[in-house]
Amino acid sequence: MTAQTDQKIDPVTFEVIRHKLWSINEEGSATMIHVSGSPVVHATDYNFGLYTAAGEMAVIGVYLLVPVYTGSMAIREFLRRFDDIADGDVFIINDPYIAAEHQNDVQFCAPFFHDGQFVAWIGCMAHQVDLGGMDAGSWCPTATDTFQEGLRIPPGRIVREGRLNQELWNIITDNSRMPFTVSNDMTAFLAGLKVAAERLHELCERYGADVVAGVMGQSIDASERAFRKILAALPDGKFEHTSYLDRPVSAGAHETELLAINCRMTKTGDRLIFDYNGSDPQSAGYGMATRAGTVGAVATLMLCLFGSEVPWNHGLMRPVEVVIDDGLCVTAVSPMPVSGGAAGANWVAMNAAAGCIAKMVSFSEEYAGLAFGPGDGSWQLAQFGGINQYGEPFAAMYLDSLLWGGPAFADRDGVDSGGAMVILGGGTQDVEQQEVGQPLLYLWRREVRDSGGAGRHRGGNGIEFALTPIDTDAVSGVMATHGTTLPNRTGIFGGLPGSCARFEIVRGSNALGDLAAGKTIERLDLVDGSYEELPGVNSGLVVKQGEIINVRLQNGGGYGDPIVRDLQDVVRDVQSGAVSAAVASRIYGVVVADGGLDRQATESRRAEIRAARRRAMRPPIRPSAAPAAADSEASGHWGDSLTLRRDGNGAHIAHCAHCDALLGELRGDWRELAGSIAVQADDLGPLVQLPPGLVARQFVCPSCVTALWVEVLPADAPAWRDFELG
Amino acid sequence: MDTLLVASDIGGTFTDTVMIDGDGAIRRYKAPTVPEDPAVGVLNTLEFAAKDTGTDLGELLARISLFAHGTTVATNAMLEGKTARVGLLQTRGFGDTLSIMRGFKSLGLDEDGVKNFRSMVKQELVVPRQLTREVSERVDYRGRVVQPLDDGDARRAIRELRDAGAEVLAVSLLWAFKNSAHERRIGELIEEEAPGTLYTLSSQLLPRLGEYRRTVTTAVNASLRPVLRTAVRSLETTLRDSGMKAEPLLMQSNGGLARVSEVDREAASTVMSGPVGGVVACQHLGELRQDGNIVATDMGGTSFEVGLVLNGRAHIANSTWVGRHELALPSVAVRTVGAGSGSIAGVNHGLLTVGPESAGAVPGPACYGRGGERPTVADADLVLGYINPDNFLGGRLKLDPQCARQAIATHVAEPLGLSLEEAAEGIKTVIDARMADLIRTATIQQGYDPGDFVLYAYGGAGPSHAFSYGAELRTKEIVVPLTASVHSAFGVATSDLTVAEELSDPMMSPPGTQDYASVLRAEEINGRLTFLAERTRKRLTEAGADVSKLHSSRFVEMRFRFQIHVLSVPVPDGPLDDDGVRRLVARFIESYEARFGEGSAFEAAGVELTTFRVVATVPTARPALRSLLADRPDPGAPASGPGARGSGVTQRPVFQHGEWHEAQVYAHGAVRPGLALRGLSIIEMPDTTVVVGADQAAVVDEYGNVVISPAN
Repeated sequence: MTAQTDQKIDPVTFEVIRHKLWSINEEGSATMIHVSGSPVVHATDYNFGLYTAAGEMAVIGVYLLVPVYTGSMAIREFLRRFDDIADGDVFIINDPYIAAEHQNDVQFCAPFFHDGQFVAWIGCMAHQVDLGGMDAGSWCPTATDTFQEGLRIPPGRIVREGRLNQELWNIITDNSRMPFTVSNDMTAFLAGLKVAAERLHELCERYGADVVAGVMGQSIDASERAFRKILAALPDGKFEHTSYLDRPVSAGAHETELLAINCRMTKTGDRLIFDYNGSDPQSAGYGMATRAGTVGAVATLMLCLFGSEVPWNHGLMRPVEVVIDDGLCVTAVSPMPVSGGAAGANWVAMNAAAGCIAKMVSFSEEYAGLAFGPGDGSWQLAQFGGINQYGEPFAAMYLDSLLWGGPAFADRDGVDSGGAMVILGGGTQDVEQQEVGQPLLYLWRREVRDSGGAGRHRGGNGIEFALTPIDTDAVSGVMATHGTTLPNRTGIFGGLPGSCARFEIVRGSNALGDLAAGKTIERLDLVDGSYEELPGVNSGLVVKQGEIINVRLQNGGGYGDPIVRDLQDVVRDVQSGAVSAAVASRIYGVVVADGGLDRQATESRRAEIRAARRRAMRPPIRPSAAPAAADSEASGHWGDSLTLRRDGNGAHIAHCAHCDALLGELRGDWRELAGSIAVQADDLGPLVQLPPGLVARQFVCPSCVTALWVEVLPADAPAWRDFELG
Repeated sequence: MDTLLVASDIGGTFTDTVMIDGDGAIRRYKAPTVPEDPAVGVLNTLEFAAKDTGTDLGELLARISLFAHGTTVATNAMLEGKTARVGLLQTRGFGDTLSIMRGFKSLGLDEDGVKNFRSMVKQELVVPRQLTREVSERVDYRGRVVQPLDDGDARRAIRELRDAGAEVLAVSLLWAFKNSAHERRIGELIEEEAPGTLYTLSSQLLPRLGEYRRTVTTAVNASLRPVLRTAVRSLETTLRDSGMKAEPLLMQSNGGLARVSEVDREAASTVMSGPVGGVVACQHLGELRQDGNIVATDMGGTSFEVGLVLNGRAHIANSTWVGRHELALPSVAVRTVGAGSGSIAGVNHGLLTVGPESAGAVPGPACYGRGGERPTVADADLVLGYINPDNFLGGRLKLDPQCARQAIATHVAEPLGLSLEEAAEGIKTVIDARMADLIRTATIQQGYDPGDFVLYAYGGAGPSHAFSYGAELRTKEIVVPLTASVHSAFGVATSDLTVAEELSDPMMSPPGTQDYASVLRAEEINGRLTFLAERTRKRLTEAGADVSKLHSSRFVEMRFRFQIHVLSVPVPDGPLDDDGVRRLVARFIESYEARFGEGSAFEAAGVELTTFRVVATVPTARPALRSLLADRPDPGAPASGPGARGSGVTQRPVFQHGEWHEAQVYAHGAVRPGLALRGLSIIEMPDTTVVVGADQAAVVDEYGNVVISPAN
């Protein structure tokens, strides 16, 4: 019998239980981390959640977010497949084609019964260090089908009515290169589930199972209501955004190809539909995501965006529908390889959705603060293995790759090395902790100047880290990512993209010898040896003694045109080293001399930038017919870029938000009202690249030439409409 | 010899002082703190003391045989940004260590903060990037020099920082705790290039693995040195000029006292100087009452703090938080949540919320009548009848029940459609549950069963809420100490002179080790511990302590390899032999499983000894508390004035579980050892109110503490 959720609960009891549920979730989660102790788990590649009997997310831990939603998908699959779910069962799954981002993410879900009543589910997951497959660590970026990847575990029971399924347990551990660690993590799952269940029993004893279930259900209802209210206050319409993923045409090749991921979002009343059917089809290479990974990414975005306004739970997904056919790059099906795509097409899909939402919320005075460029660009897998300094085998994934800069917002800069959006509470370890564990010496772990996208508010700078083997002959490496030839972290409202991803190596060098001789190593390309920029996807890499690997991350995009950034903010950035004097002058139009602002030079530099834009501008396709007149009241804004007014017929008339010049009626593609400028990679920032075939366009006000939007897109791509208001 | 112990807790709002004479009678006094001159509050309390004991201030000061104090000067300087400007020197390639913050943008945020991506930013850096310089040098994980220190580069960096306006310097190089030569050399260069500049070396302050926290702690320490030096010297001078002969001692975060000269180098070790006193006081009272395991709870105006006493010792954590900054100095573990009598209640999305926002001292709760309009926990307590509007702060502040009712009606009762009393009780229920949850986090989630503990409740509001948050946890008993309103000051009075030394110098066993003693060599462990013990003894000797009474505790921090969680394991006295090493590892595994659950030990991976620590103490003149049996009740209470009230028992209505009940109200004078209460009762002490629940009973013990337990 399933617990009822509809009884009336007084507000005090409600708040007490709601808070208790959060502590129970925390306690289960803490137990799991304690028992596991794995550095990967510690670096927060895990989560823990309480779900309703029907599998909706009721309480969510704040660590890796995507799997919380895949947990809900998993539970719904268990409910669909099994009609004999019983007290004492624990289900397991890692099948990415059903409910996981990739095979490493093993989930355990336990139905919770109290006095025979089916009340809830408790679920947890953690990234397993190795589940087999062609590459140690089971990220297999060069795999061409799923059978080269880690073990796939279909939905089933690892514990049946309290009895451990030892055979299944052994199958899993025997297929891992690190059986002890995997076994330990699975023990940790069981410990966390057990503790959470004990505490839920106490809560049900005290308040009754129906009341506890009621609080879960009604919290979700309350969030749903609050979210729908927000949606209803936002403009109806269609919003569109396309993002790209670049990958080598074949493993190890420098030449890249592009996958397009298109998102069309329809917002009607209090509903949101994300349609990805315009995306590229699946293919047997790097970057494929499964439906679970993609829908999980959309759910994550809802939490990160609207979760700052509304309590976190499934209520944030109820008004949301994701429409995609199977067999696209965001819904790959077996036997497409997907282990390397856990942060591939689905992250790009999440960014496309975020783009749609940014375009929508920017019409609202109240919610414009929720608009930002892509939160996470690419996960730069840097995994090394070999024999460590103690003569023992080792395999380690460097989570330093998470330390990228955050996106800029309407009211603030992005956070420098703020880390992933999808792991809000996460971070990585100390350099010393890494060096005592692995035979790799860091040459630096530092923030990269000018790596965040410029803008009225700039994107956060992120890090680079360089490693050289020490006390070992050589290490092997698996390094894979996208975003090496194009920026995934685009800006909005005239903001520029952040730096591209990069892997570099120097071969034949003698790093430790140079240091011992007192030589300072500042850059890889200046080291005595053969420098090479590595392609995006590598496996079977060998780093020998004396050689150096450097990983530089993709960083946050800017918000608004850099030439309207507050002068003192630019000066402060130059003083702190976040922005170089060269970029301050070239991109922000701010001249810093002797550590302070040169006001006169700045004025002329900014005038020069505007003059250059005027010269390069292609006039609007639909120039405004009437002269700037209409002293009617502004009826709204669109981010930094447009002011909207209503004409006598009720049509939206767009003005430049910077100079108030009349642009024209807002119908069709608004870009046709703007001037456009083809810009070079250099104009976007010193660390941004554009591969052949991609172009950058800056759309500007034809009158004051302030940038309204900067886009990076294939030369032959169909121009899309950012929005079409309903 | 006639002893007179005086201890003060100089808080942000009040300075509390306790005075304990040779008979062990405790007297307690309170006066407002003057933040610009902390000595004033102390002198004012002593002024009251002189009056109370019929002497004059100079005479009293001259008689003081020991003066110790806790102070929030360091914490406040940090929170208010009034620290010295620090210049930081780091290894080339790692000058962004503070800014990168290991990528934890959420560091130090609570649940709501972490869930708010659009507003989540890092805290302000303790050293801005402009005041950080990199120096060419590198040491590796074994302490070998990978790149020699470039003296010229270091000199340039020091000069640049000095010219950029750095007032103090901090040096934190990678692996300096394994090989401190480069840091020490930079210290010499500072003395040449910037003579007279105060500086801190990470290898001296905190020889511990983990460069982020080591750097934060080193930089904060440097920034606090001038502030603390000024404050302590000013206090010392004022008291000496007024006639005190004793050298003031200062409470450290680790719960021990130190001489001023010691603390001067380790200013950051005083950031918890204020709050830890209460836990130390519990440890001391627990010894008297034979309570070995105590949950120490302090409910004040803005926050609720929880510490633990385990097997008779205050529980020490490896780090402490000030705002969002984590300092890696061992500290009496105190967890905090924004729940206090000033926590503001409201309705959000139809849900009742209480705190963490607080009304603070100004405007304060609505019932203060100082313009606060939003309802607080104190307003709810007043409406429900738990507190007497005429007995707040010993009657110094008259509370206005009408303002309290109005605020609750407007902001809680009406929006939720509840009666006034139901709304007030709702506020209390929510805040009590939140406090119980924090205690749960501090106990159950760490593997401790509250059933094995006695809960002590103090602070302004602890005694009136403990009957509720304590009952929920089913601790053995709830004790409200006689000194509840000045408990931290009492703790300062009972503390020992303490120095701690530690060293990260990892030793590890390979995976699959059968006999740990064969790879974790006893003589190597003994060598490290002896080295640290000698350093502690030397420091105490230099501080003029009587080292014949020295007592050392030795600890090793251990973990399973490839794992994160570290446990501090006590090492028995005397040199270890092979069997001792085996027992040490066995003890680690046993505590690990006790703490993290059966089956959690990961022996296959091997074990690692990461950090070694020795804590040495020398007792000060510890007070012997006097039994109050056959004595006039509580001689510490003022003989006249507010708070010195009758001994009668009256009744007043209290709203509980949805209806009004008659509570027995005991005036302070009625409280004497042996007094037994049963059922809903209230004891009005001069500075606080003790509540006993309907299904509870209480007795007053021989020291004047109120001991509450379930009836039957």
